[in-house]
Amino acid sequence: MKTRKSTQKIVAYFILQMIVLSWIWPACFPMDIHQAETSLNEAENSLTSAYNAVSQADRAGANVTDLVDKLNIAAALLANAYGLSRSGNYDQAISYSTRSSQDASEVQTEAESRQSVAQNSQNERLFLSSAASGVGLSVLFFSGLFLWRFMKRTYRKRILQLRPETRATG
Amino acid sequence: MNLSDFKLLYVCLCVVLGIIILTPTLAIFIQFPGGETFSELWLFGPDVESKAGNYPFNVSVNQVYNVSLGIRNHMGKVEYYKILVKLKNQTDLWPNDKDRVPSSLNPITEYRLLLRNGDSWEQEVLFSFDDVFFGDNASVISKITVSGDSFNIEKSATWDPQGQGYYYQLFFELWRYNDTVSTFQYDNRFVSIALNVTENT
Repeated sequence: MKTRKSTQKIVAYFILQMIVLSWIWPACFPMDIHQAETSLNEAENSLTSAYNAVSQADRAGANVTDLVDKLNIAAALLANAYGLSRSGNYDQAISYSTRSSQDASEVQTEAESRQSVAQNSQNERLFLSSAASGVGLSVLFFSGLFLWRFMKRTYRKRILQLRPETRATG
Repeated sequence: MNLSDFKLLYVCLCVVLGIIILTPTLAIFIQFPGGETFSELWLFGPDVESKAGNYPFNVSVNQVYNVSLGIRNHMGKVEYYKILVKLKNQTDLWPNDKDRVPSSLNPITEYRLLLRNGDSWEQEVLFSFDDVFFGDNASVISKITVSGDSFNIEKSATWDPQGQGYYYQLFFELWRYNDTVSTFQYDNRFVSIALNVTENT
């Protein structure tokens, strides 16, 4: 009975220690400027990669309106993170830049998928347009040739059927 | 019209028809040059309706003032911008338009945004000077709040005997992400307001 009580005491003491430690840990080991800079750089890279993906998707003809809106949220988070870092609030700067990085990565994945769809659709359009132009040119060439021969034959026939005009002289 | 003239006319007609047939395919490959590409940057006072704009000029400590900052994208594609907010005194240098060099001052804060071609963005910028020391012929701003976020700065200005005030300029530099060199570049555009920071009366 006594052993059980002492064990309970030790467990309670251990739990209490863990709680106190979790409270004081961030105060003892705060995020420093280097960690914040690393996090900001990562977020910056994620955002620029996402921007490049969105830009390429836009050029391929995809609808990127909602992606730009989402990326604007990530950009605002990164701007806030830079502000917090400048004012020495590194913990929050890291938190904001991490969220920005995550949002930007999601946008990049979506933009790449949309770019691929838009590219396929553009290729399809190009193929159909080229095929239609090819058929149109062939039809024009052969019908043009046929029409030309027909007109030439008709012209010659008309010339041959002409009778020389005679005029009385004197 | 003889046969050879008619033949020439016929061939020309066929060529024109051929070009018309090819036009949809050619349109996919050929890109015609667009107009001039540029980015607009503007700054309005709180009273946008009036032409003067009522820009804040004589500013008191701990008073909140506002201006409207805006950008419009005419670059023909999606652009990624950042605007650096800087504060200068009368001796600090402005950005150099001629050499396209930004101001060497550290930014207080920044805005970042993406805009599709033809889209614009406008935001109200609230600012206040919260901690200003006025000494003999000099004032020092130690704290500025921009859009709700406070920043510690150390910016001093000497008394201007001609203008009878301590003059500072709050300015906004436009930077644009250049995807060919993978970095932000100064877009050679900035807007500013002159401020005479005065003691509370």
